[in-house]
Amino acid sequence: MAPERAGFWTEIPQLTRAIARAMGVTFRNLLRRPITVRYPTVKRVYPDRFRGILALTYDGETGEENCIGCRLCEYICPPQVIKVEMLKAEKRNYAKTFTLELYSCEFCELCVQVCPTDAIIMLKSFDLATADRRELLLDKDRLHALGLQFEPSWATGNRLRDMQAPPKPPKPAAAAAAGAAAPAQSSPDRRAPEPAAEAAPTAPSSPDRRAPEASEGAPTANPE
Amino acid sequence: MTLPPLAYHALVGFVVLNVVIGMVTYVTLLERKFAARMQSRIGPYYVGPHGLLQPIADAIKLMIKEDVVPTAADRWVYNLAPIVFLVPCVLIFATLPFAPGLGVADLNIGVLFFLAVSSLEIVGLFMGGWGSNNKYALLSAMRAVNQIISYDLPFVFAALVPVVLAGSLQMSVIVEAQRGLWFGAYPVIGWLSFIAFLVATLAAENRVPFDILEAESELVAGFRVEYSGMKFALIQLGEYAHIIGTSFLGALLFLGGWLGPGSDYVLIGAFWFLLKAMLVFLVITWVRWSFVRIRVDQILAISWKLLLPASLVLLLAAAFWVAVRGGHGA
Repeated sequence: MAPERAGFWTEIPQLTRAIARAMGVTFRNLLRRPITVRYPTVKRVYPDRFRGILALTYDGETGEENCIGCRLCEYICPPQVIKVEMLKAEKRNYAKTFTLELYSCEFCELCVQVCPTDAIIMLKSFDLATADRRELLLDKDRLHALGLQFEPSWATGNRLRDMQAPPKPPKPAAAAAAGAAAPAQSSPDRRAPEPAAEAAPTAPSSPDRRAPEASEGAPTANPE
Repeated sequence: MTLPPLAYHALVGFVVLNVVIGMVTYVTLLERKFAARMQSRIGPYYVGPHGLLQPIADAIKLMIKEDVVPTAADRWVYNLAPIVFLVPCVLIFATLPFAPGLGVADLNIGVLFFLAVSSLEIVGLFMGGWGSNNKYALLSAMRAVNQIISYDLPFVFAALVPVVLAGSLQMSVIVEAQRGLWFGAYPVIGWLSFIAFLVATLAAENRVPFDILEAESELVAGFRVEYSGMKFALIQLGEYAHIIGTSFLGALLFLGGWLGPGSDYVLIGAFWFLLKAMLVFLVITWVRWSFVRIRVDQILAISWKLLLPASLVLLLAAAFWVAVRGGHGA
């Protein structure tokens, strides 16, 4: 036993200080207010990039469904919980069926990132608890209903892709410089070195990180 | 008093027993609330106003739970162990005077009775550990025996310091001797022996940081790992009764028992006594949530190298002081 070799008695002052410190910490906590948020009755403000339940959206102006049934989300889904069938129409296509097995979803947000029409989004809610597993097998109608029920998260497909595009050059001189780096824009998932990088030094290299400050519509720091 | 003495004592004993069991039930809530606040939580909240009915809900839950007996268990020993464990833990309240004249039996060897009976719980504990036929339970019970052998001596010696200072083993006499100055506030001897008493109490009750016998990471839940339902409840009851009983003893020996403003009235005296005992209990809980569990060799080193010599020296110093001053009392 190491303390014996160091001297059992010589360590007693140190031990006493350690005891006093440990008990002081718990005592200070005792005087502090509890930080518990009583969840079902009080809900804390979720961050803007919250990844919660998935939902489908309607167009804000025309009231039409946004989903065009392109099946990009189905192809990219790692746990393969999305199944879409396309319905061909004249002006645009629709999703004939849209099934999402939420109980197997891993909330990676990839479907949101690839959606070309901002149809599938994530909500600021994780109220998944249910007594029946079948209630988490969501069809098109229920996904639309969920979208109306909860507050949507910030991220949509177009917003996330905007984060990947280089910021608009302010001056023609800078535009010429940006034009040299134009091929970089064709690879959305890898950020090539470019002059505008100083504008956003903390720019993420991957689309699912937080938004850089330079990008439009980026979430501000959440005020708790 | 028209009742015959035996019936009177039986009645008082019955009342004290039920009060103790009710108190033990609610002390669990106190500990949970206190612990929660130390961790910036709220604790039980939803059963009754601010969780006040939580202990009752817990008790009902434990009563209606299934009682599982392991196939390979020694059934007799296994079933008997909770009772053997509980009885000494409740019996220690027999000699505690809660206020002048309020108590089951104010024996003239009250402290000796308390110390002797409170150590008996280890028999039930070892029976439970052995009868469960579970290696974790057995290891835990062996650790507990190991620990109780090491810590009963400093516990007894620390508790004997007030006895020497007061010159009596009778609890009410010890309390009355502290009318001038509580033994816990007695210069040097009292302070040190109170600390020694608290540390030995933690170890004798197998509380953190001396809870190697229920070390969750290694021994699952200690000797009660196979117990369920009401037997588990009895063991928990016994454990908390032991803690409360020792808290009362600490308050009586070192904090002046029922003494306090207005303690001539029985109920006010009992209130002071309860308040002091709860204070000791909260200190024990405070320690529990401040420290980590220490190793077996460290526990034994603290006992044999520090606590036992220190408490012996304190006892001798107290005896010497009484001899020099030529009288007992504070």
